[in-house]
Amino acid sequence: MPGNILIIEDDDSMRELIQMELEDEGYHTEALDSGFAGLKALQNQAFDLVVLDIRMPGMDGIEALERIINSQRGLPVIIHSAYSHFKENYRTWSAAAYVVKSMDLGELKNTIKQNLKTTTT
Amino acid sequence: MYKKLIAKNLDLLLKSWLLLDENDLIVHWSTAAQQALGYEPQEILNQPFFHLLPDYRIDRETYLQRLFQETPGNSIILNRVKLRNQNGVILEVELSIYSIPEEGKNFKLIAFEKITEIAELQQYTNNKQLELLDRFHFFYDVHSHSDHLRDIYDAVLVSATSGHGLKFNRAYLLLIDQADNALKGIQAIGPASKEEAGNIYDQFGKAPKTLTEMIALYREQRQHSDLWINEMIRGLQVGLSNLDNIFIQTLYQQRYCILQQASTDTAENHQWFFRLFQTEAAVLVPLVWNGRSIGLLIVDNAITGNPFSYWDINSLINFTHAACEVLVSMRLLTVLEKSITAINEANLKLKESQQSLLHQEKMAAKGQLLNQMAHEVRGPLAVIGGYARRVSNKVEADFPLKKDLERIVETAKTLELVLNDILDKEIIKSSEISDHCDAAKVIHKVVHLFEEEILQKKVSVNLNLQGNLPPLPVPEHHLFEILNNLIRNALESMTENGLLLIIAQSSGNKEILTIQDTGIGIPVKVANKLFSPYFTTKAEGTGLGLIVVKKLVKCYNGAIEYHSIEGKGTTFTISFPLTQSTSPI
Repeated sequence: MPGNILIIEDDDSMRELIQMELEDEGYHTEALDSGFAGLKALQNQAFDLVVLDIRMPGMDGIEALERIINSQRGLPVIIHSAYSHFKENYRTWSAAAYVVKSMDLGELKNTIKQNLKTTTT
Repeated sequence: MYKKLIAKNLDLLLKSWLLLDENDLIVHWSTAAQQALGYEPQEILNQPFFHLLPDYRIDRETYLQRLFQETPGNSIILNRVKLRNQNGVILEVELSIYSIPEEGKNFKLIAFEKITEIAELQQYTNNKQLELLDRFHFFYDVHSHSDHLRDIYDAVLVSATSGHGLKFNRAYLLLIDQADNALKGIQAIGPASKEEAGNIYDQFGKAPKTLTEMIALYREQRQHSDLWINEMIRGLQVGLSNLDNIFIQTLYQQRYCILQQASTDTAENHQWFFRLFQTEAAVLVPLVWNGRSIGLLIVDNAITGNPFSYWDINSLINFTHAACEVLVSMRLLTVLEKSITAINEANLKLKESQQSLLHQEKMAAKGQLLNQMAHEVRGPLAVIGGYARRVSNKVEADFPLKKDLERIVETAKTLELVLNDILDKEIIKSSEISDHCDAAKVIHKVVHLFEEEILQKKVSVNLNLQGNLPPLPVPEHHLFEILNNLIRNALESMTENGLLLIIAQSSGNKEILTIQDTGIGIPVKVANKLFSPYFTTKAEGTGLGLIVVKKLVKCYNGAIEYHSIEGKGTTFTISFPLTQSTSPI
């Protein structure tokens, strides 16, 4: 039961890589390059999960996270960042999970799978 | 006859006194009493005693009678009694009344001292003592003297006793100790008895030695001889205020003193000395430096019984002048040496801490830069490695460039591992904060933070914190965050006159913290949303407080529970295992 995933990531290469890899897994994806675009998409479309970068120009991931949770309570958001220290910022703690960026997307994929399972069951 | 005898001798014992006959008429008085009261003899003799009491005392006629009725026994001492002198001036006196029965009649002896005079005398004595104390040069902490100083003491004592020096049998050194305000025995030299003397003189006396050799020899022997007198002298301590003591008198007078058991003058009061020092005679010489006494040198001829000649004493006194100079300069040198060492040490520490601070700053700056760089590299590296991996996974095994792709993947992987390694290390380094805290301390801190609100809302705070709580394996700032959120919620839920109860206790391997309020409670319908992010019932809440609490509690393997009755209040209970490995945030 693949889901519909929103990817918010400002780095083009990374965004496309994630998108390709997740689609290979059978997910439907929408990949956007900013928090604003992501929030807009959330208003018009239903998603099962969000993969969110933190360091982005304009609205950063932390602010986007807050807004997403406030608008769509219960929607799992996975933070996907090159920075591990945002883990210590309690404002990121309301996210469903925190995955540090790696060339091996295995951890991200596993985390997505787990979170989709818990929300659908 | 009896009266005359008393009258004659009483002046020796008492200053101001009056003698009353069986009818309480004054029959005798002392000159001092006359001076104090100012009456002429004809005005006072054969007059009743109560004439001396102030007029306003309506019971004055029966005063003495009543006193003896109220107080059993023959003597009464009264602290503050008012007497009237000839000029009508009221004096305050200390009054002693003794009833003297004679041939069935009761005479009374009344002695008095003016209190004002007593106070004056007291002050005079105090001043005198201060003045006298000023005459001392103090040695600090005489019992921790350096080996250096001990050598000097030896030299002084050996000089006083050796055949080359002053030839006394035994010598004792005592010094004034500032800390205890006392004269303390320091060191002694000499045989305890004639037998021991025989042995020592055999060793010391055979080959004539120079004084220096003598001192060296003495030092070698120190372990075996002098034991008794050294023990005795080191146990000796006399307070400087003990003015009856001959040692202290000698220090104050700054004049030498000869004690002889045979002499009637001194023998009586100084038996203790002869017994303690086991000698029949001794010379006490104060060690005076710059007009101040620093200690006492005592010498005796207990073994040979030789008398002290004028020349002996004279050269001893001359010698003590020199000894004082040496002692004081050595003492000053030692103090100086100590200060210099302390300064050097402080300097060294300062330099070290400066260097370490500089080093830390450098390292911190380096660490920060490295951290930043590593993070910046991590993103692009994930892209390079990620794509290489993806392509490598997509191509068939016989693709000509498959090996090259794998090489990119492997290298990127290694680089990523190196980066993670660096970053993890930096994280450890930056967390120099203690991973344990004192829960009671943190509770006090947080409660203190809300002091204003507590006062404003008239909330009674009841802290029930178990004494000696074991350290909690949670960093202080995290427990602070937890308690800060829970206590804030508790306070915000209460209107005026609420009760906030905080309990901290350890039980088995657990530490349990309870925060209870008498606030509005948690409505049943929102209970399931309590721990969801951004959920708040407050106008200005972030909705993150309890998320933070839950996450932090979980991070230290703790548990959080709550119990709430709407309208009555809420109790949050968090418990942490006392030994644990933390899980990452």
